[in-house]
Amino acid sequence: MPFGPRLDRPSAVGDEGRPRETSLGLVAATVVGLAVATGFAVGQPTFLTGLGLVAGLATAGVALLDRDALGEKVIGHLLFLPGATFLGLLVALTPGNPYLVGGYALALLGTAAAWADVADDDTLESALSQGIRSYVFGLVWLFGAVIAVAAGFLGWRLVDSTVAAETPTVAAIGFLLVLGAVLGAVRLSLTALPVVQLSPRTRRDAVRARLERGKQALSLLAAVAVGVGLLSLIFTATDSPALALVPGATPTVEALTSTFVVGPLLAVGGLALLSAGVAVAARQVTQRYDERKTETVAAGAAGGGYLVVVLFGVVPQAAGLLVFSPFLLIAGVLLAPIAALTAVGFAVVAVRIDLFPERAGGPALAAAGLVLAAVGADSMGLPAPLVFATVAGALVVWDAGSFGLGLTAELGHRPDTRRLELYHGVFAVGIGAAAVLGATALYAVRTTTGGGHALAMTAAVVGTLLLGALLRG
Amino acid sequence: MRRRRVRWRGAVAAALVLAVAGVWNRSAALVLGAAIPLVFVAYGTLSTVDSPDDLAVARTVDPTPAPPGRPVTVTLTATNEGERTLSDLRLVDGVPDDLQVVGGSPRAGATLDPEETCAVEYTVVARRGEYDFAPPRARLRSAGAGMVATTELSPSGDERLVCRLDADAPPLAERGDDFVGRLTADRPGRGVQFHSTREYRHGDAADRIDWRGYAQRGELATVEYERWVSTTVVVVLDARDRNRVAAGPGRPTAVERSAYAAVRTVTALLRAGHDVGLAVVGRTAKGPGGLDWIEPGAGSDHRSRLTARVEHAVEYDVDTPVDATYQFRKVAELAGPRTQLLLVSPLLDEQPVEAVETWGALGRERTVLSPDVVSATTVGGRLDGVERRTRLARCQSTGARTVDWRRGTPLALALEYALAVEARRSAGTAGGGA
Repeated sequence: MPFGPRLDRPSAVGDEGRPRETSLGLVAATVVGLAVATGFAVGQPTFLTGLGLVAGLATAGVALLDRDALGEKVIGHLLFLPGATFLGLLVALTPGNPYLVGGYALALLGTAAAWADVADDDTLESALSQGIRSYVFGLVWLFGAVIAVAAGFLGWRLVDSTVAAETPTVAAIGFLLVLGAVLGAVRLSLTALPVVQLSPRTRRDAVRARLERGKQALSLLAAVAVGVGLLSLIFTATDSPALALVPGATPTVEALTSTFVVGPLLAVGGLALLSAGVAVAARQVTQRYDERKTETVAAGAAGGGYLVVVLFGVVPQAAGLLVFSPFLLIAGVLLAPIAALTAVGFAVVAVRIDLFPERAGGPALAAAGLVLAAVGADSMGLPAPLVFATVAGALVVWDAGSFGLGLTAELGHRPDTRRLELYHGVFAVGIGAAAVLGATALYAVRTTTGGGHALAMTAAVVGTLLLGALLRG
Repeated sequence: MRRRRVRWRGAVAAALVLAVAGVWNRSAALVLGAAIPLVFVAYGTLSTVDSPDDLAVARTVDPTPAPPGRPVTVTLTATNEGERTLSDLRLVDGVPDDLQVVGGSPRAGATLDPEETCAVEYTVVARRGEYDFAPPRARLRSAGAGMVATTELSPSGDERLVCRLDADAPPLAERGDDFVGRLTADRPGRGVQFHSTREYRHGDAADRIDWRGYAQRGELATVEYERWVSTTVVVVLDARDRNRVAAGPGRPTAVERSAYAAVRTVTALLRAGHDVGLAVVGRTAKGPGGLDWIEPGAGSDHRSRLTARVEHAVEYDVDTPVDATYQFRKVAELAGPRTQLLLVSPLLDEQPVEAVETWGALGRERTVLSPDVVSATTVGGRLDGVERRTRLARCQSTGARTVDWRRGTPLALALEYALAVEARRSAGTAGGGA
């Protein structure tokens, strides 16, 4: 396979619609070549090629979301929405003509979509619905994380005040609340851990009964500790010295609230929560889901992944680039994915209303992007031959790409058709080159003769329209 | 049939967009650029194609006739006998609907220069019957792929795949059996496989005297060859409805493969000098006890009768309840105590195993020949395969000789290994597998 591994597989795609590597190799070479040439023309060779990586990752995400396995779907989520969002931000933030940058982004997306064969409405709609779900789950994870951080902060303050408290009453209340929380955590972990399943089969009934009794005892103890602690808060509102009056209570409370006791207690609670979380996660991962539940679980897992990406990827980068502004960051993180999802929604509508052909959506998108890029290149004042080459490139991309995809639709992916594709591709490139040379020559003649009359331009446009109407494609 | 395909509407739209953008930007480059898509449109519109009249097509089907389950290679060659290059030729062979392509593709795309040939080669799995190939279809496109000409071709060569149960089986009258690399040894004491030498007795044939030993030691000795033991065998074909299943679409059913194995076994046994009978379990017939039964016998006519009855058993597709347990028991009764029973069954359920156990309890000599029809590519198929091998082992543990005919192994090899050992057994060692 000369152009690297492909994301589609015969089992997933079937005989029909599998892209042809020679034709699509020509398409990719054309798009990347034009992007590099444009980069040289504006003085930054990597001006546009950076978009290619992000576009490829986002498209790979769409392809992976079309798979059935949970792991592939999770990775698909982590590539699709962050990739699409990042691509949109890159297009918005890259200096230069927006038509040029946006056009090349579309061209690269279209090329990648043609390779992965994901430009049909079913795949896009599936990616859109799953992307929306994962975005919602991401919000849930974000709010959950905020609540967890707040709870952790409050807990830390409670422990800190307990250890550092001067009055024994306050220290005892803090200790009781900490004890209640730890007992509650252990109670939770007993529910989640597979204690019964790991015990010998002959002793399971006995273990189950003992476990039930243990859970009840833990629940009762936790409730008593928290209840007594909360009730004792009354003493803090009065001037009563309370516990200080009880002989020997002060040194006992001091001993109980020392770091040597509270520390291990917290460690036990933390360990219990951690083991419960691991057990629940292991259960979820090893379960067999139907298609719908797989999508939901994958979206849920990906929502947590987004949080990790934002915390460890976006925030340090934003801080490092000195554009860190919490409001800007939150707006970017929360609103940019919505914009990306909206763009995908428009793509679905475009395919549905046959604005793009379903079988050759990728090449059509790439060609449309190059036409847009040609308009942008002209607006930036780039050399006319480059504008002509970009237009011709759009036609070559469409011709070779749609030919290759049609070939597989007709013959399947097994026959070797490289020679046939090359023969067609050489003709397409030859005609494009001849057209570019002709247009460049005409442009040179016009420049040397100082043309540019409005009448001549109008005549050319009218001629173009007439010819287009006559030929009609 | 020629027709034009619309491919360049997007190019016309691009030309309009560029023209309008050129006017909007007052850019001559864009207006000139708007002409480029029209060049492609003109190229697609003006390029034409003729019907592929100068295309010569030939098809070979190898082998035909073929036994069920045998991979058959089909080759379709197309030669451009015209003087113009066929820039875009797409060729699709008309594979019969009932055959499954298991290798290669019956489709091809090529660019053919004058006198150049391209070949489409693919493999199908033979199923019992005769299958006519539809004419191949050729489609030519113009250089711009805007015009398409489609036609059906008349190929020379093979037009049919014939699959018969007795394919590959040589005529009974020929010398030599169909075991690989060995000739027959059908008379006691004569043959080619050396066994021992003994003292010369008056009347021994001159060609059996050990002349080399005589030259060395000066004593006459006679060479003994391993002997074939003629016996009576009844081949029991398990053709119950339960076995009318296949490993995949277009594959032969277990009954078809069993029937092929039965025919080959019958042929081999007859040619080795045994008397062979036939019992078909799983269908109701007019034989004794409702069993489809042919008494053991020998000769070409007998083999023809046996083959025809096996063919009939494969075609039998009447959904009537049959008491297979009774039929298996009836076989042992009819065959008699000195007759060996050779069961041909895919062992997809327990009934054949129970029959073998019953025959063992009655003191019958038994051989089980089991064609493997279970798919190994699915979890369920693998489980079925384990169960089948367990049943084979159970048969073997009852003292029966078992032959596991795996897919991909020529039946002749499996039969040679099993039947030759069986025929040569001088001591009555029970059980064994192949």
